[in-house]
Amino acid sequence: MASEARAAPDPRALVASLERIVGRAACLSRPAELLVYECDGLTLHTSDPAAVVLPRTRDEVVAVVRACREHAVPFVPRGAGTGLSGGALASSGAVVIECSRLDRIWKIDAENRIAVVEPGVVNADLSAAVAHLGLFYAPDPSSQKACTIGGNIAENSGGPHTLKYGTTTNHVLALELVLPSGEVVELGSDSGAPAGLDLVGAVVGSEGTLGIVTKATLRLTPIPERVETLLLIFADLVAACRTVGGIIGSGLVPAALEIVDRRTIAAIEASVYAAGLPQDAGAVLIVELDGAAVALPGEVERVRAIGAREGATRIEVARDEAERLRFWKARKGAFGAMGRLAPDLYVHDAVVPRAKLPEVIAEICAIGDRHGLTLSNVFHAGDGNLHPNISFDRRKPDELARVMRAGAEILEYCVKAGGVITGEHGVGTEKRDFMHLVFGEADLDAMRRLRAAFNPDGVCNPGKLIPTTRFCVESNPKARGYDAVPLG
Amino acid sequence: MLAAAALDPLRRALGGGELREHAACLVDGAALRHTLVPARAEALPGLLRALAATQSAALLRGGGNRLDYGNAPARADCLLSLEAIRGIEELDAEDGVCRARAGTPLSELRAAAQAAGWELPLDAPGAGATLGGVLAAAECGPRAQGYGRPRDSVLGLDVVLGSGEATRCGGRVVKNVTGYDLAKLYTGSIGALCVIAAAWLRLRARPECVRVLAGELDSARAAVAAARRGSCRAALLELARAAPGSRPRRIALELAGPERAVERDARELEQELGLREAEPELLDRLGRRASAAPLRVRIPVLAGQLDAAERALAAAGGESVAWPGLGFAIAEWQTGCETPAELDALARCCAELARASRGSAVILRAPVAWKRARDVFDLPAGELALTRALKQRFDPAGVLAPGRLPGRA
Repeated sequence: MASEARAAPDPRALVASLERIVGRAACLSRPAELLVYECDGLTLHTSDPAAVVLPRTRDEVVAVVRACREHAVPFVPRGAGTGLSGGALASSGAVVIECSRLDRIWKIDAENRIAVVEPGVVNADLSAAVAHLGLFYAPDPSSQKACTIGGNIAENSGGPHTLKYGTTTNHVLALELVLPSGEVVELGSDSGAPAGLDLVGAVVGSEGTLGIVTKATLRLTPIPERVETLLLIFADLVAACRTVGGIIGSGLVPAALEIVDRRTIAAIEASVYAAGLPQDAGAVLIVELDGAAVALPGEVERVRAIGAREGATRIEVARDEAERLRFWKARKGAFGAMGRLAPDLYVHDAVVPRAKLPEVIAEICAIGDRHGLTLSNVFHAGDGNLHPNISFDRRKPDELARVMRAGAEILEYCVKAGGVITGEHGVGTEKRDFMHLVFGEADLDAMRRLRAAFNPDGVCNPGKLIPTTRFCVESNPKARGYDAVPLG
Repeated sequence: MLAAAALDPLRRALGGGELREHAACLVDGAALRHTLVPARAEALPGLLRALAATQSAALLRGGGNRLDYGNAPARADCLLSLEAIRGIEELDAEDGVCRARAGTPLSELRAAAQAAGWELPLDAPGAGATLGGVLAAAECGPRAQGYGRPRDSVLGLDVVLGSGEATRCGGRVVKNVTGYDLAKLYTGSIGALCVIAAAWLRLRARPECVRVLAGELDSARAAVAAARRGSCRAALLELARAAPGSRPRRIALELAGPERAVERDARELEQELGLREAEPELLDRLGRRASAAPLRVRIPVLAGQLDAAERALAAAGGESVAWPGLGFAIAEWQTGCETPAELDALARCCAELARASRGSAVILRAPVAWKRARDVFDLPAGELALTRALKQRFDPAGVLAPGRLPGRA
């Protein structure tokens, strides 16, 4: 109904006007060029964009947004495309605005511990650029060598060290945002001192649906004096989870608490990421402590004691950086190791209360078994953030359907356990239709009100995050129905 | 004040709650003679709809410490007190999370958290502070340096929107990106978008050791290095006044964490800056959070701007306390702020200082007549337009303190 209000776009005229803004070399529109943009890290959902532009300046972003509006075509901001929930997918024949060439670091201010950067700066590059000042950028998603700050802001990215340092939202002080109208606004302040509504907090994690970030002021964190990393081996997963509870309950605040389960250990040890883990182990727990050098030896001993009490069969403390990296190799290589098990991998993401971890993991494994799937678990145990990984082959009849059914059952179980459907990957298109598991219609309508204040006609990244309903269009008379267009 | 015709519909909407009539309570010049006291959160949607139907507007009241925070409301007919919607519903000692109703006194919540082996990461702005009030005002206390800002401790909220819908956002888990982070928008919305009915909070590990140190500093900049000690979770610095030597530049620090780290930092601060053990109350006293000065302004001050801010504020004649670990200063004037011209000049001075730190000064208290004629937030136009759009969508009838927000929204 509402889509009738939208004029039919003229693809050639659209591309011509985009080329005038960014130049021909920075505007992709041939099918072969667009292929790589048909999905993000979630390869299960695909949709072809109308075109892809790679602007170099904020003014080019503004001009592209205005051109899209003139041609009645929606647009989607995209970082490095490493997202795992379809957030950068060009649904509704949208133009993709790829921000990777907006990659300048405008300012590094060591005195005030802030950096001002463009959205295309790669996460790990920022930490590398400030390391000589004794500082780093704390959020560390697994994809940090490729993912960009703009994408991190869109998804409120976390990482293994979220437990102590928080997620992206705790590190963004101010934003320059191109609104879906093409207007540029500045939100927040360099000092982080509050003034008015927390609009920066509302934009971080909004999955690119409230506008396009073109500059961000980020908080830089001092590199800790010392880091200690422990590897604890357990005969069963329950003991590893109990150890996590014991560590947190003792008042320790580790930088990271990561668990790798038996099935993942087998995959890692059979791969190039082999870290020398015992194949008969039920679970491996990595504990990273950081902080004052004088305090860490005592904390290491406390972790040792808790691990021993809970029945750890082996406890190692990294003697040097090489050994520390070996411990982490087991964790960080997990996703790569899955690659040799099957051609496809579905990385799930859900969160449950920490105390429910053993029960939930057992049920998740049972769900995988019931559907005849290869399922393994690597997770941020300190946050209760699970990543069940399903290895599969979509070419086999019925296998994809079983993967999707298992995924749905996992989410339902996590919600019943008091959890939520995503802790760091976002909703995107992947979990849009699962939002009803967590929220009622009134809760979702409150989200629509926020979106409508920034993005009243829904032209910016349509089809993401909030399920579409008839009510949505009715409650927002300006909506032009972009969300109503089904995904490709 | 409430129209006579509004009283019966509001009484009915309160259900078992109470409509109190009392002597005038003055808030930003409005004389409020009625307080709505719903007994249960379930009554809030109907009550807000009744306010809309009777064309009335309410100011939310928690502990009553920050009733005048924000712009002078364009309309205020009564108070809406959350005092009866109180109680801790759940405290999960294993997970370190708790859920409490908005009217729960912070002192009760703090005691319960401590009894369970955790710490409540919220500072109270004054006596009787409630959870809902502290979250609605989102005012940073001195320990926000270590605790994080109030928004960082909120995992989920139950709110009733100004339009009367009961909704919730977030959840009870400590990591969550399921939908928009509306809890960030509601925390600090000064009771002008929604009524916070209950909250899930993340508690913090209780530190092994806490020490308070105090002393006098030769330069404001020295406070920055002190505040950046690894175990420092709160730092307040009284800035020097106009006449050199007229008052020492006092600093108070709270160190918290592993005992060895705290002891090392304390020892080095004693040796390098001559700081000494001080009474724990000093921190709250220095923050003067309950001060009644007629003009009080929060000014963003980056570490690198601290010296310049000290000089400018000394020249302006106020008394100022910098919060070097949190990036702002609170400036107060007891005198010299009587006439509109004096107030305008001081506001300009604060705004210029804020701009030097790429932020906006917020007038926390000011004489009513002058305050009513201005926007206390001094934010850029783009932010004001978004704030108005949000107000229109979350509280379309303007039943929650219309005019309170930036842009007089």
